[in-house]
Amino acid sequence: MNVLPKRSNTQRFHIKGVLYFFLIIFLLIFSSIITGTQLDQFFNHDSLGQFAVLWQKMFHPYWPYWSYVVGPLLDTIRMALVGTLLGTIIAIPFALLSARNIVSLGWLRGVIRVISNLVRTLPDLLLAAVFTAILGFGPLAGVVTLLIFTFGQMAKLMFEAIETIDQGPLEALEAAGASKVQIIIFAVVPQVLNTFFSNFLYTFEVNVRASTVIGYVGAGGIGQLLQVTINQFRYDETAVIIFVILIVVVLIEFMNNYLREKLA
Amino acid sequence: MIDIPKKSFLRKIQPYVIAIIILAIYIWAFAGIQFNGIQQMAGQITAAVFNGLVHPDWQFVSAPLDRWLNATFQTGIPSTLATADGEDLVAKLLQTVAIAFLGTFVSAFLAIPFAFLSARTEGRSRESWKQRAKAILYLAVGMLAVALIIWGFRLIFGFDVFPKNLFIFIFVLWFFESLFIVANGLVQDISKYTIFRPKSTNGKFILTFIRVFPEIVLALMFIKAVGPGSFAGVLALSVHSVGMLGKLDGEAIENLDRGPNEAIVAAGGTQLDTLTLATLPNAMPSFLSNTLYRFEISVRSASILGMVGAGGIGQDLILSTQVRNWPRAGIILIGVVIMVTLIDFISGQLRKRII
Repeated sequence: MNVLPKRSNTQRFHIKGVLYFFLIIFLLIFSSIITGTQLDQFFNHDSLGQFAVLWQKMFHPYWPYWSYVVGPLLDTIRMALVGTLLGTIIAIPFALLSARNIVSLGWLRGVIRVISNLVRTLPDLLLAAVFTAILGFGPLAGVVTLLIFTFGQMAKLMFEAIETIDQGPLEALEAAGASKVQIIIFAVVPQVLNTFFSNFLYTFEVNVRASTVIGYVGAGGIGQLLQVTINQFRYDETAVIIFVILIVVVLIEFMNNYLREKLA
Repeated sequence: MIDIPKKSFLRKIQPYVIAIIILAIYIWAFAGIQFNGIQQMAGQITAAVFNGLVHPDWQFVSAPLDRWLNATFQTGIPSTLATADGEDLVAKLLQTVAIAFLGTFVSAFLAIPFAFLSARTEGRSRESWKQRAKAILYLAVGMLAVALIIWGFRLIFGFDVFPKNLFIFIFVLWFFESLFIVANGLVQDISKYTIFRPKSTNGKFILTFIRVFPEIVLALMFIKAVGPGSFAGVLALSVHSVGMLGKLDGEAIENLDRGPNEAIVAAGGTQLDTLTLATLPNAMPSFLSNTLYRFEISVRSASILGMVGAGGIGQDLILSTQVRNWPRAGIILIGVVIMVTLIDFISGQLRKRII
């Protein structure tokens, strides 16, 4: 005879679920107190009125501003291109050195991985703020920011790609007496090349998004215009900038999807 | 004899053409950036920054403890901080996490309707003209509903800015979308291509539109409404996160196995049954995992929102870099790194359990 398995009391009263529920409720209340969240502060006549005025301005863009936007926009794309390339070049040795199937020294891999992990935790604008302080206002600070930002991402993406390749060719080359460099060139590179380009395009896309903002703290590009127009309450000009960013982001996303489908 | 197929001329020169195009793009990019903007003092400042990172300002962390010690034991520890409560590193980092938590929580719910809207669950088969007419009708109903909601807000809160042409605007939008649907129908009838799907294309476009607004711009817009402070940051993140969460959740719905849904339909279930018994239970783990992933990113976002006055640690960082207080900037950077690493670790562990 079939006997139904008995559920323990913990399962029967959903103790875990209830605990999680109360934990989340507690965290919500706690964070609301810390952040001073009061919904009626936003949903009232004045605040919503202000907000609506702002949106109304944004819905009537000042199109002639377009001619001012093009230059910084090209700067933004340049920054993203250069930053992605340089960051990737620096990331390649780090990715190789942190892959288990290439470097057998455990401590070396650990150190390299910790470095790239720590770099990846820093948000783009924090980096931009520090680098504008060091290098002065302008696209150079933006390039360096994007370089570091790219480095963190590419090092991780590439090291994961390298660790998942087929071990056969590596062992074959090793058995034939190839040196480390030869193994990397003839066994690793051909296997990860497509993933590499795909990751590169993805990182470029992320960087274009990031580079539209980092100008806000003075690191060059279209973000500077965002700051200027918002500070002058010219939301009709801000709308033009946002519209241009929308077009560029959609175009680059579209192009990248196409190229990555071809690579895959 | 076997003929080796010859590569055509175009095929032969293709790699070279691609290489030349990429090279040209990069020459254009490098030529356009002015590298002469380096400050004279760059070397000195770099040294100062490193010095600050090596000798961080520990008092920024220990301020509450110092205050407590001074008050209870009269230890007389000199404190460089203003004595205001909640102005030390740990309090500010907690505030940052709280902003991210609330923002992610709200957006997790806001994102679900957008996810269902943007998921491409329409069949691959060709639609009939009847279905297309139905789509146009649904579109009209949906847009009218949105307009009425905005109109209702206007009535309830009594602000008088949205002009009467809100309805005209909606009508024009609907008209063009209808044209799209008809054009797409004609294209579908003569070829196999589908360029426009009334539901998912709209949803995907709305989500892209939300994502294009940088969180900083959103924060500034909300600051205009509710004044500077953490609340503006919470609102900004709740809206901004919807763009990415809606996209990820929508992709999760697209990737679902359709089997359970079909089984429920075959057993005589209604649309509501398929939603509550098949789609939601299957999609829930992905939704949760996406939300946790977005929480990791939101923590990073929240730590920069302060730069424009929307609460959190960003404000202290931008202040300390402006007055070149590098020990203070150093301890803030260290704090952010520790906070983000910790959150990533916790969230990673939770996500492993969910999936």
